[in-house]
Amino acid sequence: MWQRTFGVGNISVRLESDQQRCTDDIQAITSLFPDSEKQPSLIFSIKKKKKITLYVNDEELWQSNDSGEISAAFEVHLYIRIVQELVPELASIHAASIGINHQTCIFAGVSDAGKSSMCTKAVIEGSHYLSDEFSLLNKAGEIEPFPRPLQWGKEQHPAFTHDMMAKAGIKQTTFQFPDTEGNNVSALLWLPEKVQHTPLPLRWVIFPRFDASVPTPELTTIRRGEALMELPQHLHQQQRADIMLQMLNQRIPKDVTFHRLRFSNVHKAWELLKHSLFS
Amino acid sequence: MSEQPEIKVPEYPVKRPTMIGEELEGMDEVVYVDTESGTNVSLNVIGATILELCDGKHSIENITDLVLENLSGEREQIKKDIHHILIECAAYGLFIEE
Repeated sequence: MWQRTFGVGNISVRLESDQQRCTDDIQAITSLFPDSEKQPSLIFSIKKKKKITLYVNDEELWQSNDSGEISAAFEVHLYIRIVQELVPELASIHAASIGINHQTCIFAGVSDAGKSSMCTKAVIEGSHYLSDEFSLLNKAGEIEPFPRPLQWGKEQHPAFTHDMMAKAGIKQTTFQFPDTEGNNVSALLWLPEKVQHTPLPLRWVIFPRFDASVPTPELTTIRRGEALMELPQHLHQQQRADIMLQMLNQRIPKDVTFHRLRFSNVHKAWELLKHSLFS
Repeated sequence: MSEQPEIKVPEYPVKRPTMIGEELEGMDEVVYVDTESGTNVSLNVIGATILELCDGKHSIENITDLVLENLSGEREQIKKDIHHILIECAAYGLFIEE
């Protein structure tokens, strides 16, 4: 039985598997998380009974004869259960986060807003990687890493070639699973070289919006109040509106600046951010 | 051209109890959020102070008196300004409807 324990935020997660194919997938999915010796609060097990079965803390989550399906179920439940376990100590924002000059910039927004594209570009340009999806805000106003592999929706990205990724030291691995119709789908996982493993203070919050009609990127600074009215909708764990607002206002440091970014070209957008905010 | 409906302020306005304010320290801003609908609105501190006085016990005259205790200025002008703020609050649906 293969075993590994890793840390995320203030918790530890233990993984166990007696299925080699699942073990390979799990190792790829969790390879960027650091090892931990803390007592785990979540234990994911994959065991062969009559079928291959996925458990969390002895609760049966999924059964299948297809190990790819089990790995896919593992990935989905891993993120959900970790976020549930981290709240309220950490607030999970649907945002990508990168480290620049020992501070964090998060890109918050709905799917397809351009969060992962901006994050990928930042990592190619040498920023530290914290997460492409889960930005964990702690009570000290810092972002804690949640370094799942960078993922694109498809194998190819319109803005980044595989060569570009390789030159930046970003390794590639794949993960295969069946889609809802039973066809085998291959997902690319990208493993950045510079992964941040300790929390960094939050300094910039950016709301990106991919807009093909914008020839040159536009960056606008917005009021803290405007940002605080928008951010609650991007929290993974929804609560009463005033509780989310108060929590974010208390945790987000006073020197954080808030911006909207409209762009059609991620490379130009990055140049704009670099010169306007990060220089 | 259609006429804009006239917005009326109740004689003794009452702030909706589901509107909860969060002051942004040092920013002269209070963000109000409706705990039922999730909608929100931002007011400056003076606007928020006036909204908090809308408890069903204060008329616009009473609110003007209270504001004048802490703010210097010509009474009629201040009353007009308060009325304007109350109309905005009414337009945003911050009061219980009569």
